[in-house]
Amino acid sequence: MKVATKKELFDCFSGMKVFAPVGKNLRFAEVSSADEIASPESIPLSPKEAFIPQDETLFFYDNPDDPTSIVEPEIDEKPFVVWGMHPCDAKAMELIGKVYSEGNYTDGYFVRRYNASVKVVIGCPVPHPGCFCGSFEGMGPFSKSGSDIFLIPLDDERFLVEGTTEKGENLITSLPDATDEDVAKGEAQKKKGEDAIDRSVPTENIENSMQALFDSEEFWGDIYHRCMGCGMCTYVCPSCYCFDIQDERIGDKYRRYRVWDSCQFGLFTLEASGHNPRPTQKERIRQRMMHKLSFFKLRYGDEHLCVGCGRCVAICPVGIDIRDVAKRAEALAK
Amino acid sequence: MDEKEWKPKILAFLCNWCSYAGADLAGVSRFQYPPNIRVVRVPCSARVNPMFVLKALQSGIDGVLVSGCHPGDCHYITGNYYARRKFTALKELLDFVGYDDKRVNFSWVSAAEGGKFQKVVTEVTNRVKSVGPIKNFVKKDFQEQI
Amino acid sequence: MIEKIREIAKNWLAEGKVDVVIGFGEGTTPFSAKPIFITKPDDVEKLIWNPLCRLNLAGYVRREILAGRKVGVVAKGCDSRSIGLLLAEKQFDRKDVSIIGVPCQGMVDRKTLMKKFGNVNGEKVSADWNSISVGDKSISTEEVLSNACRICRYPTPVHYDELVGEKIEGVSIEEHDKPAVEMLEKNREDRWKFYTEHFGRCIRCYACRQACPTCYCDECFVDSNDPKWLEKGQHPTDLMLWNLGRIYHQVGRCVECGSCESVCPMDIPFTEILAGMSKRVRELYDYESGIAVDEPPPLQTFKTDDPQEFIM
Repeated sequence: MKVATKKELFDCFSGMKVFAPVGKNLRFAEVSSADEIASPESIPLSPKEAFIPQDETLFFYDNPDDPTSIVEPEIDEKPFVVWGMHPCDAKAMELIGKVYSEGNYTDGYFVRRYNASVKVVIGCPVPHPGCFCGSFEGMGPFSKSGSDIFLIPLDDERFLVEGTTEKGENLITSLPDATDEDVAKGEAQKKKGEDAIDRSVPTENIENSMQALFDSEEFWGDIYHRCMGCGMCTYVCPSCYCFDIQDERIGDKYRRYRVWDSCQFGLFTLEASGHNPRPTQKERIRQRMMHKLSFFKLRYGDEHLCVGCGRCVAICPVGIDIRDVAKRAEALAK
Repeated sequence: MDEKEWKPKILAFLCNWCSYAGADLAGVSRFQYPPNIRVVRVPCSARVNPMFVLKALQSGIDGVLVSGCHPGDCHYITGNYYARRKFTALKELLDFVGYDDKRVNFSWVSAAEGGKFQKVVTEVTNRVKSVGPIKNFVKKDFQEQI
Repeated sequence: MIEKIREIAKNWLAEGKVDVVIGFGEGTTPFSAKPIFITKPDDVEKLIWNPLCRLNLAGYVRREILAGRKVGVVAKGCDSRSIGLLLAEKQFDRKDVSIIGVPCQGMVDRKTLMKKFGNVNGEKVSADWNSISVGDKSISTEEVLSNACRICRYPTPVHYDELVGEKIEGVSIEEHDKPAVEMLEKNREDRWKFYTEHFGRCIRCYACRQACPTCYCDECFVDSNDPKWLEKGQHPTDLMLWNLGRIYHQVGRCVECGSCESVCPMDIPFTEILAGMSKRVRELYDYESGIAVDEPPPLQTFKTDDPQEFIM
């Protein structure tokens, strides 16, 4: 265990690009000094931006009829640091990795960024309203899964620093060792978070309970009427990974790029024939809830796609609450 | 690009029945005017969607002119009345956000006004020249990635 | 006041005058009130009325009517004007909606309260028009009123079937125009800098569009691929085009409810520019949106002697 101030830790990364939340809206951007790293005061976007940019070039080309004119963009594969992730975010990136790298087709853009990144994950002694990561098995505000370096905040200035992978360990060798007192403080912070976190959301069998309620007008009727389809839940969610692909032309140069898309948008499932299998907000909000709490676990194995970060709960302008959905589903299933 | 060499590119949306005919008359009468405009013929000034203007500026056009029939003389009776309100709204909006007011221009030029067309184009070209090549709000390169 | 609202809603549902009453209920997260859809007379107890009832409900009214239901709504001044605007645009008939008009003293943005109070996990929030308090911390409501509400000209609904509460005067025209006038006092370059910086933060989530009751196009211009008016990426010019385009489509139609600014996750300011546009529409065309339901909004009509100073 090591100990460090923000600045001391930042200096361990000299020579590497560091992405951290900056500014009043906490977008993830490159920072050149520890002072630029913001403390959360607003609803943050998730660090998914650092791995799946909102606007990402897939390739450039000069001639739409000639595939050999394709030029791939330069993805810097030098190691870079993503600072300011929380355990929920780190877990979410692992889950996205399952989708993007298992099977026959891997998403090279995501995988290359993910493998090159050094994930600095900070534990949460004081969970935010809406956080419920502890409701998921194996998850909690101090879960180290998916991190390279794990930080426990001791006070405003210092962190307990642990290298959780070899990549992370090698970067922090110059930091001073933590004293027994520091370690004890860290344990206290950890206990504080783990006692405070919401563990009341039923997730054990939720995937089956929700499957049983798929067609229930009574169940979904409570939320779909007020859903505006704004899509903010999908934008702030660390484990939402859907995208739209567009082509752009400037002069005689072309670019194919992808942007975040949302299953909440009306045109998301619109087919070329004009048919839309999810024509109203009812089908769309149901899709999101089922994907997060049911479909993903049934399809990929043992984990839910929702990581309990609480961002969608905090940001939804009409108070749609995924915790409430899970609780009601479990109650109705009984 | 050397500013001295720069020649403004101006897109002119001319309504078929009045302004385009007026431009034609200017040509036939050999009225000289700056050669920087490129004409897009539209059936009526009302056909011009404000997004045409904004998209033109984004693509690197230095200035835009939209010209139609005088109010009361629209070939489609009421088209230019609607256009007048639309352009007013566009002008007010661009003005509010501080966009250069010399780049977006409107005129009424009738089929008989070859002389006026000459004057309008000269004026618009001078206005655009006075503010230089477009720098704000133009998409020259693809967005950089992280 | 809330008792009267509930009573009217209950009667309407029991009589069959409406199939659903749209209003606000308690939210499950701090500082939020959520829109609720009451279909059973006994459920009217869920209706609440406090400064957290921020959003504009007119969009839901339209959606429910188009789904074939007779709709009742608990409407603030802005909700009522939006309904007026939708009527002027012939989206539905006046008889399709029954309005419980409630004069409004102003609403508070959840974002503002979350910043002021910080982390209030689990504690009870109480909110009225004197103060908002959590535990033993309390602030005056006046201090945190949303920007749009501070310049509201029509807090008392102009369209209603029943009015609950005393009529409230709106602010003067000078007061309403102030944010726009102050913005226009900056010089051009500063204004452009302001708007490029703020619109440049947009993440293209389209929450503004979804929250707005007058944004109801089946295909929004931003989703059109043929013609493609703008790209969907993060280029600053596309961000400007999106925001300018959306605001352009609001000129003469926006009722300045402030929902767009309230929901924006990036805190993009819209109050000044929308106030500026409504000021000009009032000055040029003597029109305020949502009041008269038998005349179309200004960009959908004309007068033969409209002003045209800028036209050569």
